[in-house]
Amino acid sequence: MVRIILRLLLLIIMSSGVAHAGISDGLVEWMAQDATFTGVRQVEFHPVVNHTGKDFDFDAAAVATQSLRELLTQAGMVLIIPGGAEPQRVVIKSSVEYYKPGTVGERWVGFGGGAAVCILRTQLFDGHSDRLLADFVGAYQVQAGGLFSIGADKMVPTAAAELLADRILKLVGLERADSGFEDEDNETD
Amino acid sequence: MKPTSRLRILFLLGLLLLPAAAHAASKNIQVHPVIISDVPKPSWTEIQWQYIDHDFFTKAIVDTLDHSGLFSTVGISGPADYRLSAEVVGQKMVGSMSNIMLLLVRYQLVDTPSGNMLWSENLLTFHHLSASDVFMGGTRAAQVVETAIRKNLQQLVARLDEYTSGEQKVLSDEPKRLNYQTQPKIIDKKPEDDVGYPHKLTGDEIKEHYQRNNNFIFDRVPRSDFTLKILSFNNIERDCDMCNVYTGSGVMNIKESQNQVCFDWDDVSYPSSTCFDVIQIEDNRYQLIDPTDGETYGYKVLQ
Repeated sequence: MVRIILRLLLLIIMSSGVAHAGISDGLVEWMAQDATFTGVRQVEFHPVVNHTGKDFDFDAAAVATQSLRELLTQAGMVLIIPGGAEPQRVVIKSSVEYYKPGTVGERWVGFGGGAAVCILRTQLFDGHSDRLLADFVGAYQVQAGGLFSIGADKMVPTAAAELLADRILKLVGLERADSGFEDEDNETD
Repeated sequence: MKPTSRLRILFLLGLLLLPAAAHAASKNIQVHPVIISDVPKPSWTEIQWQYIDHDFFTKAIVDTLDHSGLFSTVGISGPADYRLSAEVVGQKMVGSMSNIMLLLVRYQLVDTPSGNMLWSENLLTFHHLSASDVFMGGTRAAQVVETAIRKNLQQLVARLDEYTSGEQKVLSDEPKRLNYQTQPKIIDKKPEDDVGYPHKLTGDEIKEHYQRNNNFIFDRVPRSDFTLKILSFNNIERDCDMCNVYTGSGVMNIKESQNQVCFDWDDVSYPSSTCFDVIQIEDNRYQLIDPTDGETYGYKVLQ
């Protein structure tokens, strides 16, 4: 009996390790040489749009929109709805470029087959001239883990949004609210 | 390890899948050596590391454009009508088994004689190996890189095809590039003597104004001038040198009863998609004013 329990524990530990090892992410970016974002706290924020050309049962764009919105506002940014009276200095537009929910069965096999993947792109424009200032592309995938990866298809848009939100916040000199650091500007609020 | 010969063979085979240009080539292009500004370091889990080097990517662009038939000649030196620059600003292999490639390339097309920037854009492509491809062994890294490159060059050809086709079409009508130093020819009529400036145009006057003229230059923000052209069926097009999206399209609608003109743009946010009052302030000087927020664009009529 003890031997069976030990084997089960070992299996759980090994499976957890595999699940963690099956998570990967990456970010590529471009910024205009003369672009400066210091002190930017208020931006025009557009909801994430679906550029995949496909419809999914799960609305990855809406989830990514919600995640980006929460992370940016919690860090101290003010997001203005598009179409406001005053053009904002910076406009943020994002899109789901690729989304694949994958399958649990194939993620049990591993090697990248059946991976749950989300690739998000966020572009920052000059609100007055429409000029592109920065271009960030973040990919997040869960490629292994078997049963431990159930729900990965719902999680990858959020995780990809976190990648991009962290990059945007770093750009404007803020930290994510749950990082334990507070922006100096917010301390006076 | 730099791109292998296997990668080159795969890529050249992929060239056969590129669509040929639909229109005749009449101009030549020079491709500048590609700049690689992002050379990633391999992670310990990548089984066969691949990255794009400048020699390989420059040759890939030249071969692709040569095969596309968009230009009469394609080279890396000598005089040319166009000059194309490419910078690989991002290349990233994602996944412990190298199953996703992200590729971000910034392209710039310059009209060589004038030195004007004609087009610049970041083209993003990626490739995700399918479940059946993940057991390809060592070739998987080459496969994923090669496919991302091929998709990127397909986008490049499509953009250049679109641009060069559009330019030929526009050139048949009038120059696409306007010389801002040249005094625009005044072709709008003066208002009646008893109408002073500023004069808010009525619905009928707005309709007549836009029926009589179809080409305008706007100057709302310094260095962000744009031209607006009325095409058939109230379709409109704006060209903006300094904007990320050079050409934007939309529709124009004149609301005669409300004495306003409304613009609805498809892909651009500058100028705004909204309704404006039209105010004439000089012989050939007008303003579009959004009555809800005072947003104002000044413009002149061009021939």
